[in-house]
Amino acid sequence: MPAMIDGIHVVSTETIPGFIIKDQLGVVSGSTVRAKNVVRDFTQMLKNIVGGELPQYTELLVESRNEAFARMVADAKARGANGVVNLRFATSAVSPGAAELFCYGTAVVTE
Amino acid sequence: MFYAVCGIPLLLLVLWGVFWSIYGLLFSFAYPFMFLYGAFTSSSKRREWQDNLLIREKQTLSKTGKDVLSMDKLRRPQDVSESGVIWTSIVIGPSHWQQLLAAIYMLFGGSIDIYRDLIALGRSEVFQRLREMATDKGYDAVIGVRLDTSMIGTHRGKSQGSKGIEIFAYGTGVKFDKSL
Repeated sequence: MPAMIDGIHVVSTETIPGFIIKDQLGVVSGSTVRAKNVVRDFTQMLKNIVGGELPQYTELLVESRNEAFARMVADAKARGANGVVNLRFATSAVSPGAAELFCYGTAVVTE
Repeated sequence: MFYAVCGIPLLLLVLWGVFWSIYGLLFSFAYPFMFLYGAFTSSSKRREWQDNLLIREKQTLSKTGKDVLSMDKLRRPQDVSESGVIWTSIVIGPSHWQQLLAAIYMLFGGSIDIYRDLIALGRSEVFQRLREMATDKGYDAVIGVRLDTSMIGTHRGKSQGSKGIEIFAYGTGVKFDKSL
């Protein structure tokens, strides 16, 4: 997750420090629903008996968030924005074994 | 002809059955040992994790001078030369021993300290990861930090499947302009 991805500057604050926001182009969002395969679920189930961190799930969620983030950035780019402010993330477990990762923000034009 | 058409699916079916019966046998032998291992080691592991975390927190603090994370807005935005969003997360699962104890405590109600300790430790860990990530990327501070906690996992029946708590933190890393 670099500071600039595809020429889009993404921050979670209200303004991008050092830039003046000229125009806002509405809310952009990206989401993904992902599940790990059966083998990984099985190994994590075994790990869960003993307790502690479940690294495969951590990795899965990071990957999925990267995907949701990339979709949001593509949405922003399609609208002709060059920045996204007020980025927020949301997670929901849609069904056992699958999670929805959602991110949204306001697409803006800066100079 | 009959065997050629029906033989392969039948063979697969038999193999599937054999696989699950072996798995069930192994699992029922191994489960008590794993359960006991978890019961004996979970508290000492947690303490070890906690000590390790304290050491890492001190290391980052000595490197940066003060805590890099804050929920504030910037006071002087003109000082910033670079900014970008960073995020990190952790999935922790209470061991089956802890889940059993928690289920017993839940009968009586009140504070479930086992889960509270585990989640508190997970939160500190995820904050520490965010600090380390920020210093690795060369950011001087992280502003507008937010936390998000959610339940994930596969609840297949009562005993099968895993139970995970995901803790997720994100914020905007900023680099200060040193020439000003």
